[in-house]
Amino acid sequence: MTLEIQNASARAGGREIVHNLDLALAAGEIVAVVGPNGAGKSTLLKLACGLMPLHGGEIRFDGSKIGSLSAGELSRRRALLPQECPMRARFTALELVLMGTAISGQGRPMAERVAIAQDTLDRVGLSSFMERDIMTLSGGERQRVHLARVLAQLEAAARNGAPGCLLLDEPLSAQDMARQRLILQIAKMHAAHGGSVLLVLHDLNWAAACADRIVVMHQGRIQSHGLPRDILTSELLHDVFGIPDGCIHQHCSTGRPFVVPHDLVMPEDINKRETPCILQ
Amino acid sequence: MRAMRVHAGWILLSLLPLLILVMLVAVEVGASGAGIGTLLHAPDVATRNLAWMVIAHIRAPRVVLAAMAGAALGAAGATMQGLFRNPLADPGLIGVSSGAALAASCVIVLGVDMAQSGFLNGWAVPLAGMLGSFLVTLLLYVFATRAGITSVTTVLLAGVAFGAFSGALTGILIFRANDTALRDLTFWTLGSFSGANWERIGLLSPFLVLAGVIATRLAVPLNAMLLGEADAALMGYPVERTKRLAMLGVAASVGPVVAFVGAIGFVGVVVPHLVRLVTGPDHRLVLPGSALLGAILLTAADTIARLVAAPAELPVGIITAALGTPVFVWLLSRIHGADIPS
Ligand SMILES: Nc1ncnc2c1ncn2[C@@H]1O[C@H](COP(=O)(O)OP(=O)(O)OP(=O)(O)O)[C@@H](O)[C@H]1O
Ligand SMILES: [Mg+2]
Repeated sequence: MTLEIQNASARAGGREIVHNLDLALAAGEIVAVVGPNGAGKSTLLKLACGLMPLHGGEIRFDGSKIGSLSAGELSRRRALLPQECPMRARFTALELVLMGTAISGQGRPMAERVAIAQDTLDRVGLSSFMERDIMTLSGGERQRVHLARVLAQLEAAARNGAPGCLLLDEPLSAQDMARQRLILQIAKMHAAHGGSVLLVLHDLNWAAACADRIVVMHQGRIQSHGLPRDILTSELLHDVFGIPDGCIHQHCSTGRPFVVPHDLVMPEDINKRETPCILQ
Repeated sequence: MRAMRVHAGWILLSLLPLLILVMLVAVEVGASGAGIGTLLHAPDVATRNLAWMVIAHIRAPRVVLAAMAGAALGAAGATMQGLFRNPLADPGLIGVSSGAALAASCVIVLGVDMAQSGFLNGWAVPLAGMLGSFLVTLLLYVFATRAGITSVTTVLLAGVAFGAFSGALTGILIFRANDTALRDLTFWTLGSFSGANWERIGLLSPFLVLAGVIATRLAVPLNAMLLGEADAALMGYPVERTKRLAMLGVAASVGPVVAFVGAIGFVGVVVPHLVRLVTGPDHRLVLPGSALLGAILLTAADTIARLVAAPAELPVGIITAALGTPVFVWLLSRIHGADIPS
């Protein structure tokens, strides 16, 4: 599934909040969106999935304009994991994931849909949580149930065609490091099977480690856009995030950049020993 | 937990024989003392004929009407609570009750002479009530819809506002009413099945069938909309159509019910909560369960209303509120705050 965003703008609260966004995702590609709070990252994802009306510009899935697709057709082409999923209803994890497959997997027998739902829950590491009331899950567990729901939506839709476009808004926000890695591996797998992935990340290192390309948003615009090593430069980090020079390093085996701000360590701390006093 | 839900399905199914039982008992008992036994075993024809009159033309339609009204109010309450994602939502919120009440009051107070002179033969109040409820619901819908998107919050708030406004107008009407009209009004606002007959049931049936058909199409999208309208739309559910259908279904069922039997409170709010305690939030179980339990409770309440002060009868709304309130409070004390299933 390819996604093309051309010159897209959006209005909210009486002003334009994102301006002239241009972005294209090919099948099999992972693109990470980074940027400060309020930069317009969630807005970009909401526009891309048709949740927010365009105030100009065009969005296409495999060449079809977003406005010409019905809600059901759209549900087979893209799925969004929102930044937050507030819900108070006491469904079980499996019931919730099944809900995601009802429209996109219309016409599939119930048994197949259940198998898909169980498989996605298994993949996000929740195979023993299927019958649990989601209100009793931890924050990270609940976020992964919603991720499973989103994955199942696309899975149920893909019969012979390529998988759809996965839009993830801060999918790592509630996860421990092992689960962060797991989720990025799932995203990689999705791309490897011919799907496309657009995900918002706050962690520049994860973005550099997993994405084919990085999009930097700042004040409602795409500030820059390209390969991780071309994007994560001292100049850009300073302009967008205010990070001082000299924080970018290169990974010895992958060659990808990574960022470690070092100015939290005070000069007077540097000479102090890290080892406990007892040994001194 | 899913095993538990299957279990819940069986409990709901067992409500059906219970409903039939309650209806049979309700037909059997009454102020006149005539029962099915009289019908079969009374020695003289006159007594049997009288018993037949009472059972077939007075009690049976009344019991059927009570069951239909209870089913409509219960299912409509569940629909509204799902649509508004608010545990206090009630069918009245979309203006069906206040619209019907206002229109019916107008006819009772201003048109009382016309009604007595046989105008429309006693149909003036229910027809005005139906018209009033449809008009107000339509008004609220149009008011809350911009560019094809209906704001349920606006519907809810405008519905509350209109309820207060129509309460004021009804108050003015009460102020102007004579004694007969006042009695009629009281009965109407508290609800009563005393006007039941087979013609009214015949008129009501197609509306309830329509609402039933709509309900079967609502259950699955309403489940998804518990996640929020945006998430439901993302998963491909027809959110706006569901809102329209839900309002149409509630107006089609509760409007005519309120017009015929008056504004009966509490069933629509309490019954879905009782059902959810057993079934959880799935509307495929909550909707039929609320219809069944609503029918059972309202039939039972009407039977009590007929019997407690026999040969006089109490308005059924008094019974539902008097019994419903303690149940509701007990429920609230059992399941505290955030644990209330929704
Ligand atoms: N409905 C709205 N009305 C007014 N302003 C809005 C609205 N929605 C978003 N905005 C503004 O648009 C800007 C972009 O919001 P967006 O949610 O896209 O940010 P973001 O990049 O996802 O931020 P974060 O990292 O905090 O999630 C913000 O300044 C926000 O305040
Ligand atoms: Mg955001």
